[in-house]
Amino acid sequence: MGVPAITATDIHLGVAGRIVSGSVDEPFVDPVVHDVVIVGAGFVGSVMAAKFAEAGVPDVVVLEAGNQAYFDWSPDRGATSPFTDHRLGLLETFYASQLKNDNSPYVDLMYAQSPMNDSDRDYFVQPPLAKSPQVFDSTYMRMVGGTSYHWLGIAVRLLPNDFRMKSTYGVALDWPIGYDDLEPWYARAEAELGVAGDDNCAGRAWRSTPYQMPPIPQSYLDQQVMAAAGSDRYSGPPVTITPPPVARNSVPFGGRPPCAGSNNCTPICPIQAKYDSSVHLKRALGARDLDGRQVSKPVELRLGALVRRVVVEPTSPRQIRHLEYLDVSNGLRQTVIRARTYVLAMHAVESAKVLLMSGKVANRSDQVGRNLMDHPCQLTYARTDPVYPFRGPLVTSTIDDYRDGPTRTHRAATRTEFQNLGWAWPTGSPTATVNTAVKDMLGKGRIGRALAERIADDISREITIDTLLDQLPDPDNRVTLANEVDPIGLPRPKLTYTIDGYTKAGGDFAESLCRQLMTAMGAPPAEVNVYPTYVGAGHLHGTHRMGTEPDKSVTDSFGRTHDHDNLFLIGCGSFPTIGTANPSLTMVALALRSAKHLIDEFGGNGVGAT
Amino acid sequence: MTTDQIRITSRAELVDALAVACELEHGLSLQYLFAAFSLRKDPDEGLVDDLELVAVRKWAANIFFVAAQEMLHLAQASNLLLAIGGAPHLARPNFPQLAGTYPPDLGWELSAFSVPTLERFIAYERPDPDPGSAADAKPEPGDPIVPSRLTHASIGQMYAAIEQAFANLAIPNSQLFIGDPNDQLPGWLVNFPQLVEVIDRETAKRATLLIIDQGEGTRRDSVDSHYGIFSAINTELNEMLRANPSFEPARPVADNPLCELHTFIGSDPDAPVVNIISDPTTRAVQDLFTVAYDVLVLALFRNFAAGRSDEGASVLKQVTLGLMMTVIRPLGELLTRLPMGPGYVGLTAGPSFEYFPEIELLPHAATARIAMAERLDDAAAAAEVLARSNALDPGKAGVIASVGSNLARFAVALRG
Repeated sequence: MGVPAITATDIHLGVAGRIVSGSVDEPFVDPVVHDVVIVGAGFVGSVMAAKFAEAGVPDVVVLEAGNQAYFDWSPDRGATSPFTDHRLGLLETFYASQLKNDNSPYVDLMYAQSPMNDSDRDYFVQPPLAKSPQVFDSTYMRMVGGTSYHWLGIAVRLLPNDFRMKSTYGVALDWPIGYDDLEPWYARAEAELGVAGDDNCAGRAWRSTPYQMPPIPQSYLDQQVMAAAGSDRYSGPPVTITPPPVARNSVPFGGRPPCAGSNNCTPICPIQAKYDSSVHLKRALGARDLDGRQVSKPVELRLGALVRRVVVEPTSPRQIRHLEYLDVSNGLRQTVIRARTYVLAMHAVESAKVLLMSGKVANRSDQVGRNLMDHPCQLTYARTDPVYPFRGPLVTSTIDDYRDGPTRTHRAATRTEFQNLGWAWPTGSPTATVNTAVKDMLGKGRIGRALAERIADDISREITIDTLLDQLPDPDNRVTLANEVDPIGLPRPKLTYTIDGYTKAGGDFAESLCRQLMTAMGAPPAEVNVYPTYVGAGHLHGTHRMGTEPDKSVTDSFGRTHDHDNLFLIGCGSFPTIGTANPSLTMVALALRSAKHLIDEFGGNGVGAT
Repeated sequence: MTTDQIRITSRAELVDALAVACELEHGLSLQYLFAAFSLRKDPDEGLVDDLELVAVRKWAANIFFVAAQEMLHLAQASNLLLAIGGAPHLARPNFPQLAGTYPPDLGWELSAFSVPTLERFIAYERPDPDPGSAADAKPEPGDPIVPSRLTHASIGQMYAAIEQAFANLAIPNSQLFIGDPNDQLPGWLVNFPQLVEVIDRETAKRATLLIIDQGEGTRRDSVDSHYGIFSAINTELNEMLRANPSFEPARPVADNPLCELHTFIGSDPDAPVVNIISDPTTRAVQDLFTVAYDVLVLALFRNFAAGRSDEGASVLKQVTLGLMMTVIRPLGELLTRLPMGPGYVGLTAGPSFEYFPEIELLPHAATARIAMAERLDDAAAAAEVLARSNALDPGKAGVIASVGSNLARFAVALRG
């Protein structure tokens, strides 16, 4: 289909009644009609860009809000760049940051803020914790590579019943596709990322291919948990403690080193043993792969491109006419870009926000922004017999026994993880543990060796067990546009979020199990602590869910919006339900499936696009 | 030379080739460890900026990783060896050896991290350009019945010949794999999940390919192999040396630092240099290292001989892994910071990995554990004396004290 000409008068300057920064007089209209414009250079955007480039789609543009790639590349140097990784700067930012949280190594852009888990500097608009029993506290990153830099690396698949919750358990809804449909794409996703796992692990979904790498060894801490769970001191429900599959190298893979146990997967792996999206982004931009091959037509990456509106073709409302973005490197110049196909891959909150800012786009169902989900985490922590934490990657063992089963009719499924990170998550250890010990011991006049021994003893016995809880879609858990605006005048996301009894029942089960494990490991029952609220897992899902019925869902299973033939929404926002799997692997599998679908539509190389 | 010319035609030759493979993997692991120990690791050791610090730490981590995989290969070669009726083979000649002692016609010595050292490592692991086709492994009339060694092959050619022998030897499955499957060392017992228990031709093929792929790399992916890793380190090192010619990533470690001369290497001008440690304190630390290494090999002998069927297998696992991480590694690093002694101005020592002929398979498990515990107790007592002697500065004495307590702990574990 042809794309109509566009003029400056097509550009709408106002957003929700406000005038944004930027030049009003000189909007720039990109004269080219590109084959594909992808918005977001995170997990989905980078993988899809690489696949399009490998397939020979000639003109792909990636728009990214972040203003800097953390590898040796610049638009001018393009495919001649050596693509050397530059994470030292990120590490230095992390070291220098007083507050160590998920986003500490990264620049919080003034024009494209990221939620920071920091009450002094929050981006989401939602009730303060004092007035709400539960806030949504998961974060994501608006940067080149997206949230992949700070993910944990857990690459576990959803289970077959996760795709058919309604038909199996009578709750929530079914996906439009099943596990068997997605299995080949899971296999390809694992091959792309490189996953270390145990092929012989029982209790997980069937697989057609072996993992690329052997599992990461279970930590000493894990082994103490396993010993306790196998002893007669443990009287809880039966558990199997196994290493989770992870996109973190256990042996060299993809030219990246094996994990060195830096205990810092989140917020940043210092040596890139853990997969991040730079792997695929570099490939899309023309880096050579292990065979020495490179794509013949690298994609174009535009940094500092802040998409703020999706504009529908007035005369043909099933078509998107163009995207508008603010070009940060040109003084927030308003820019119009056109393409035959548009892919929004900005993460669940940002994709929904832009659609809502665009008026009635892709939202016939009124589901855009709704059904926001996370994996609420139930945290149990105690001091047990010594487990010597802070060694190895953050999680090396999980309990998968309760990810599925008939109790899902009335109780959330659970996936339990053992943190090799002491009490860092619930209390801020080791800093908090040291501070407590110093205050306590100084008050008693005990310093020097006694203080050092106290700190060593406290920290070596710290263990935290977290349990990811399934959360069902609730249309009232949603992203809307706040009246409050960010520094450049764009509306901030307003989040409305509660956790229902179904999920809390899963939390109660997890608490009971973890209490019994802790007790079997030597913790006095009265000294097993439970964190007072559920905490976010960083797994934002469900704001543009897929489905077969246009009045109840936003996209089809390939991410194509029901309302617009050339607009695709791909990412965690597409998930109708979430089970207990960390979402990134499923998201990559969906992205690969959608990329293949589009490439087939393009006729193999983009000619004759939709 | 092609694999057709180095074909293996009998069980005896296959046993011999696998014994050589064990020696090779053992010796390579030690050479890599020596180079990794020699790297500087702290800013106060003359590293000028974060880039140098990050680089040397990354190189050390990668070389330690490769050394650990050589240990996996040693265990794998041992499983192959036992599967066809061989015995565990951990004995080896001491360092240094003349080039040509082993299939790759290369030097065999302990040397600090440097461009020449890396080039030697790369040469060890270089992919075989022509692995050849499967050779007919049937003996022919007139073939000698005494096995002849594959002394002129590359490592790649040697493993290709082993792979082909397992596939083509004219011995039925049931007669080729005469080892007791219970004596196979399982991966879970030694934290090597990739370790293959060899019971038939299919598992033997997987075991051999594991070694080949991790060492040389597959045809598709040589970047992630030992060859690829060493090549990448060498490239980075050369780039950094171009940027800063005075960059010295390694400590001034002497080549082949030994406490005594074990091998007569003749007057060949190309023979490697041997340096005898003369500083008495360094020699005392080296002695601690030697005892720990001896006990480590004794424990490995038991693990490799009886696999899971050794009643004390889990204790042996705890002791072997514990000795590697809490004794061998800190002492190995410490030795590269201690002086060689008079006559070696400015040079430091390094772990000698001296091997004594009495280190053999102890046939009775309980007896072996007692013998090992006694040696560890002796070493622990010596470490305590050394740590209190004021011969070392407080930091180094602290390392010795820590090592001493670990030695004592492992002795207790062995006694049960």
